[in-house]
Amino acid sequence: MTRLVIGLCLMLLSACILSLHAGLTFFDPATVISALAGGEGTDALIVTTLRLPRTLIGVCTGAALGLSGLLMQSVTRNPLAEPGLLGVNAGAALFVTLGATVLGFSGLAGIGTAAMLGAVATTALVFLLSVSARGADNPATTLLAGVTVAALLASFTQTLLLIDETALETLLFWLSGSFADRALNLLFLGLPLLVAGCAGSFFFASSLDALRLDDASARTVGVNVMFVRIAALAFAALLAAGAVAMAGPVLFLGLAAPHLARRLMGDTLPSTRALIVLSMLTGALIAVVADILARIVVAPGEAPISAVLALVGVPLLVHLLRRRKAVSL
Amino acid sequence: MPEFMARLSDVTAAYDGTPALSGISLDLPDNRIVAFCGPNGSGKSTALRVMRGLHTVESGEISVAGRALADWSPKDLARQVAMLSQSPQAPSDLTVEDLVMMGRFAHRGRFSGPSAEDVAACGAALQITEMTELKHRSIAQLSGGQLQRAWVAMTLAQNAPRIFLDEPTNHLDVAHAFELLDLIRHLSRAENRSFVIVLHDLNMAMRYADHVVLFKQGAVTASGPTQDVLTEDAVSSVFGISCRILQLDGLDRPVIVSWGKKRG
Amino acid sequence: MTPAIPSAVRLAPVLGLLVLVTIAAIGIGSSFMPPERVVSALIGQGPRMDEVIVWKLRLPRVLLAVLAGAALALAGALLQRVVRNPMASPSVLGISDGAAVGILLFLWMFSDQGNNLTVSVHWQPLAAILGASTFGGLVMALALADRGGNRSLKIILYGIALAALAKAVVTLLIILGPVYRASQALTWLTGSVGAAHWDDVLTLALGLALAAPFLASQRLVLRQLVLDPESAATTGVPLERAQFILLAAAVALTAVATAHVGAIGFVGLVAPHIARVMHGQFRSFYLLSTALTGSLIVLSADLLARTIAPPLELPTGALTALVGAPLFLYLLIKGRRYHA
Repeated sequence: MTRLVIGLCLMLLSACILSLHAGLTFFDPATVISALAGGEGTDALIVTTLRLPRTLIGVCTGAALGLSGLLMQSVTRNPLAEPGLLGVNAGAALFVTLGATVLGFSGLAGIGTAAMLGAVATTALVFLLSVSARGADNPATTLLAGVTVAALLASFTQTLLLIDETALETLLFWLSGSFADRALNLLFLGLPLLVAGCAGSFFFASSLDALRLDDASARTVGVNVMFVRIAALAFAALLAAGAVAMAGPVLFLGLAAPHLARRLMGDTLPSTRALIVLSMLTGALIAVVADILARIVVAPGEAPISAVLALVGVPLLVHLLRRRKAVSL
Repeated sequence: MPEFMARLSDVTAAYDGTPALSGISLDLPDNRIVAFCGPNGSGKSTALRVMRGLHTVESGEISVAGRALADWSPKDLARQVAMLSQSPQAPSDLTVEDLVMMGRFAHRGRFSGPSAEDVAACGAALQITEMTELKHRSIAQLSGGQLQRAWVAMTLAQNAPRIFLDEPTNHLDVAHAFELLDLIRHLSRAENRSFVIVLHDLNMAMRYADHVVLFKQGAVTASGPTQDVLTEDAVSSVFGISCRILQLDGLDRPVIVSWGKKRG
Repeated sequence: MTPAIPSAVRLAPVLGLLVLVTIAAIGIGSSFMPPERVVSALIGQGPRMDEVIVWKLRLPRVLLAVLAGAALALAGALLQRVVRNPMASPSVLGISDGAAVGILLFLWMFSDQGNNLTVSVHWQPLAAILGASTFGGLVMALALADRGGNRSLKIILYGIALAALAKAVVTLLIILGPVYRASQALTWLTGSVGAAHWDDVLTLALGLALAAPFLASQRLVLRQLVLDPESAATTGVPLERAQFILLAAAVALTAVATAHVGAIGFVGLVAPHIARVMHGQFRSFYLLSTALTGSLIVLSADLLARTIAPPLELPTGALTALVGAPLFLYLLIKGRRYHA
């Protein structure tokens, strides 16, 4: 376990270093170091204002989505659960679109804030609905309420954008999700949420371990199942809200990172505590690697991050699935 | 030549590389109540599962009801052998009546509704398990014991001449457990049905079984008529407990009394 | 206990609603036609002009929506039972996206410089079917090759992996492919019944007509799959074969539907759940009820798509959730405790 974590950390670190060097033009280490030390010039500017922000935002978004997905899958016991199913992405997209079409703002800070508010408001709505359906103790009801609200809001957004084509053009860069062209100060939105989500996850880790049993058994070992479930979903939503505020809607990562993390250890299922660390590291690592590839595969253009994430993550997932004989959640 | 309900020869089985049965051979007589006994993890449930084709064996041969397991089609086998596994699951909004009708799957026509025979079999199964009153309830509304009886009813509705039950007395209080075993004995004597039952309570095995198989660590240590197998020596060595087998006045079978782990 | 309403009678509300919406959908358009004229045109008693509008223009579109909705809803119901997961649908398991890959490759490979197809557009459904079967087949092959473990979970995991892969391929094809095809591709990805022809209607009807007896023969197996796999097997279900052929049927239904109307989403997910609350998932005609619900959702969505922002016509798929979601949320809250 320790070796696995150290290995992942080293890989993440190397990926981050590579991410500072790689792009349309490859810089040598000297340029990068001098840029980070406060050097001047175009190259330094590229490193500090473009590559550094996208690397850091990639790491944070990846970690947040990986952890968010883990929490969702753990408390719902559903392998198809992912942050988008709480309506986080759909809510963020609707608020951003409304902000752009009705209020007419287009700055990144405005978009980030609108995204976060939308994500949180939508999750609150999903919780409200699932409680009024008397399904708070039934995770499937929450997921169904979530996916339905998400589809409804996505439908609104799509209709708005189909009617107002200029909004579509200005928002397309955000709606397709990316780590590029994001300001470093977006981290002020995302990082606190990541830290809070991380702390919350560790706080509930042992309860989540017990939730791997059925609800009744979890109750008998002293877990307040309903409270833990709602709290963990709330943390999952906050983490995902931070991610969507930073990078826009990023698909696949929240779904796949926990599945990957679960299978890294070979035949034994790691404890939730270990999975929290592994999911965050896996998420961050895939995000940074995918971001590097996104700059290269269709250079000089920029490939959409969700597509590249899938191209990186899918072969890995299929490989790990085939290597492990027994699968569990 | 005696007819066998099931024959296992040199069967080895494992779960993900962890061995569960190591080369067991067994002949189980037909028209009898056979009890599988042994400590936890000794392979009795696995033996039942491989006999019903639910778990693939690593090596060895199994025949059930006179034919190799591989030669049975799923439906034909289901008409010959019904089985209730240890923790069956169904959606909580399923009604008892619908659950029991699911036991009729192998008998029902592809396109038609339930036949008179299907309805009669379900009615009889509900009656005999005392679930008729509760047949419109959804299974979420049942107590643990009622739920277990609903599943037993589903297994009986299958109307198979051979029935495997994995710990059927789970969740049942003592009175209902005895009722179920009396029912099994009745079905065995009156309708010539054969049973294989995984039982934890040795006294219940002693009282109701005609034939007992003792398992220990994935192997069969003894198989034969109940009183020949359940001896003080065998029980104390297989379970590692100190015990005495006593004949009580008025009972045709003795009782097993144990008072803790064996010392030394 | 609730009084026993015969299962066939329970179909009446959704069937009645479907007939009403159908008549409305035929009547509403650039020229409004009141219901009595619609009906007389349908039975061949109306004026010549009405008959042309109804039979040539509006009926194909309406029927295509009805048939596509039914096919997608049925595919969703099959998938949810096969993988034992209420969140399963053609779009999460990679089948719709596979069809999209087929269509995009077709548009890409057979377009000339002048934005014209070099082969007949009639081949386009075939491309969708090939794409969907390739990805659906891959999911099945990977899950079958993978021995041991929980088969349903394996299908889900391989399904989401290949769905993501297909989505990625679609995105890259849109970016790298000819620009003038992008908007066409996007409309197709959202799904629309706007370009309906009698040809589409007939192919889809043929597909459903072939599926119907098969589904009727599998309805007991399908019901049996709600039990845990071990119990289902002991009652005589040939588990592996059943999962395989039902999955194949879901792939085929999705492929035929998406081939003609594009990747209309959400119906496959939600129609089975609506039918389950309204009708009951263990009653007879559950599948029929699911199909009718799917038809109703897509037909209403298309009616809305034509009327919400005239003269602009929105793609049908953008509005299925607008119709289906409020209905399902209402049922979720109002309905008795919902067991998923």
